[in-house]
Amino acid sequence: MIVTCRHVWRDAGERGEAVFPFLKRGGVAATSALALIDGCKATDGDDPDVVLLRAADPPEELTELQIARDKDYETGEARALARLPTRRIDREIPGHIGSHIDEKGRRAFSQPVATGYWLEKGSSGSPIFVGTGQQLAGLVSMAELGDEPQDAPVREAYVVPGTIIWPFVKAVALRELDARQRTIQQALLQGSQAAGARELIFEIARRSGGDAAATFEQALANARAAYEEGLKAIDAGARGGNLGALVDGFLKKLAERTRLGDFSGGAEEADRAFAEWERIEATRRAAAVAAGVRILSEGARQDMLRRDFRAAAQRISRIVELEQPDASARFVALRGKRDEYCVEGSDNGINASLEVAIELARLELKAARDADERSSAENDLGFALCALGERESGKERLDQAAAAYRAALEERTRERVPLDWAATQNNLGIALKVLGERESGTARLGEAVAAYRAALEERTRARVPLDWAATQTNLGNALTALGGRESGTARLEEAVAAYRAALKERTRERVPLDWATTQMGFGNALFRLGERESGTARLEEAVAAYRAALEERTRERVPLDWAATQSNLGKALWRLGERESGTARLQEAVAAFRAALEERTRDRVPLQWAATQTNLGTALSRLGERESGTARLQEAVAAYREALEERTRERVPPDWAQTQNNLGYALFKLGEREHGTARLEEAVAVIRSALQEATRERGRRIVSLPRSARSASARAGRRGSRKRSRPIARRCRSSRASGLRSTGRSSSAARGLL
Amino acid sequence: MMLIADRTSDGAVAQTAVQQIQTAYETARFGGHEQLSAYFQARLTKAKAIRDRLKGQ
Repeated sequence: MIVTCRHVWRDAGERGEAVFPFLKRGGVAATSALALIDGCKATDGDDPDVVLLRAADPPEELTELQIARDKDYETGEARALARLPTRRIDREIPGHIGSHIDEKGRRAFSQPVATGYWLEKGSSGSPIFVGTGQQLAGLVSMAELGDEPQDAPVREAYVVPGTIIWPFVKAVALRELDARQRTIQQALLQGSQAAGARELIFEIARRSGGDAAATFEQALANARAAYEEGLKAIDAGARGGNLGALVDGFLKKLAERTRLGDFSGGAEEADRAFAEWERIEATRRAAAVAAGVRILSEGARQDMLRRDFRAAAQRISRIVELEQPDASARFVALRGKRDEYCVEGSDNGINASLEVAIELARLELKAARDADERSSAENDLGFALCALGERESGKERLDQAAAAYRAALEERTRERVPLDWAATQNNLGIALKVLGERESGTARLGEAVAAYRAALEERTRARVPLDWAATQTNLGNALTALGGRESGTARLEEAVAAYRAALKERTRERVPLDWATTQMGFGNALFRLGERESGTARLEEAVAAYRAALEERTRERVPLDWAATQSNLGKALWRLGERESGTARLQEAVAAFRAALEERTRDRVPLQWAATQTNLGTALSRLGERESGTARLQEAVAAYREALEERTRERVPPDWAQTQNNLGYALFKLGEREHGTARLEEAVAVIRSALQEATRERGRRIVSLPRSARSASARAGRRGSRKRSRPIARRCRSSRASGLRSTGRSSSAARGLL
Repeated sequence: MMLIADRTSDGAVAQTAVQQIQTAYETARFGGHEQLSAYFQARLTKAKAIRDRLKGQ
């Protein structure tokens, strides 16, 4: 668009050519034909001396000028860039544009200092700029030249200011924008070839139009960009995304919204589609995780079958990683997984699960990030090792368990975490107690008692009554074991006191199975006391305690615990039966052992089955002694022979020797009642073989007093036998909890007479 | 063995029984088991009687 003076255009016959002296085409100044596009007619009053022209073929390098739209940009010090036709030169002519606008809409442009020339005829239409800016302040409209303009010393000119020109330029711009938008709309209609595009185009035009006519090119670019984006949306709807039904469906909906110009609706479609994607993705992720977990689980199963428990644990750890993407929560998840294996191993008697639990605890230790996690991992490791170590022969696992607990206690200090410290002391006590039972002497058992007593300093009845009761029970167990090795009854009396204390909180109503466990331990301590004391009162109490335990330890609920309690009940009844006349107690004892054997099967728990068979044999043997005939004694011999199927000399030499000895005694008793010497010779042979294992140095364990001598000893309150304690029933608890294990007695208690 | 010796009138077995019981008696007495040693002592007396009886036959 070119702005010039109306009188110039009129003087040129309303036709003309624009010359661009600084822009060359073919070595000469570029030119372009001109056409009037607006006559700039005033709606009221005189028409300003300005018209708007369009160059038909303007050079591309032209600089477009902004037009002043405020008087601040068209008044003050200024300079005109004037063409002086007579001199054929361009001159920058300084001056000052006044603030007054005359009745013809012009401002005065004056030169403060006279020069030899000023403007001259033919300079009309020259642009004037204020200061150093490039904003068009106005056009030179008329110069007062005088009689001899070339030599006039003082001149004055009049300027059509930018603020007068601007409304006409704006009107033309709006008019042209409107026309171009209609052109664009037409192009879109043709280009999209899609129903609804017309509505889209109108919407785009409306949104990109408005009062942006002053920046026409920008408005046009925005409209074009919007058009292109809309077109992409429509096109995408038609083509689909090649990304599945969800995306294709969404793109179709989006295209429809775009055609309707409902961009908010389109955004909502995007929100809905993404929510659906998230749901599908969550489902897909869950399925993928499930698949990964399944693969890893099956791999872990193979690892367990080939007994590579470390590899199994590593796969399980990977399962945890899959199931728990949040790394900060992974340690807890890993502990949870280990606990599952530990409980499975403990409650179902699966050693492989405990092996895996051990390896998982070792992985916990590697993953631990601070003292709390390290100590928890050490405690968990100790717990799993102890659970397995209790089942195995030997002490290695138990030693490792004790070491792990002691490592945990270095970080899990009493000052910092008193209850955790106490829990680990309790667990340490359990490991030491089992170790103590497997060692000679009383040192370890004494350490176990000390650990439990330390735990009780923080695990007080007021603070954690059930944990306190659990540790009291464990203390009772350790004292019972210790008391079994020491002379006198002091330790056993302490054990009884500990159980009685525990039962104040471990009531049947509150924790029935724990109550039963404590009753079991209570019965054990009373049984030992009863063995050392004369009379039957303690033994009667023991029987009562076992029978109480059986009210909750039912066969249906806890079959192995029920069997263990039946077995201990059988031993108490057998002891009572020995002290009483008649056979009633002994018959009850036989019934109890036979009940125990219904769950303590050879397949399930072979060594416990063999121990109970031995106990049954001894009760039958004693019964056989009191009854006439040989039926009971023959049953006793049969029971011992069954026991020896599992109690082999290679596997459990002391137990084998003891059962051999008992068998020899039963055979001797049979031999007494039968003619001939076959039974007697067999008895001699069996006992001689026992003596190969039970040497003089080791033999005290199986050599017991004959009934008459034992009775005398009991009356004197002396220790009558040296029985090896053996854990029978255990329940695995969370390693942070009490970790209580009950201990029963599998029998090496019964023995025959030489 | 005492019973076998008695039933079979075998002096050698009786002697073996005496030695076996003697060992048990000494072990019990050495270990301080008064009741047990008393029991074995009584059995030893009986075993010796059987042995002597069989020796006299």
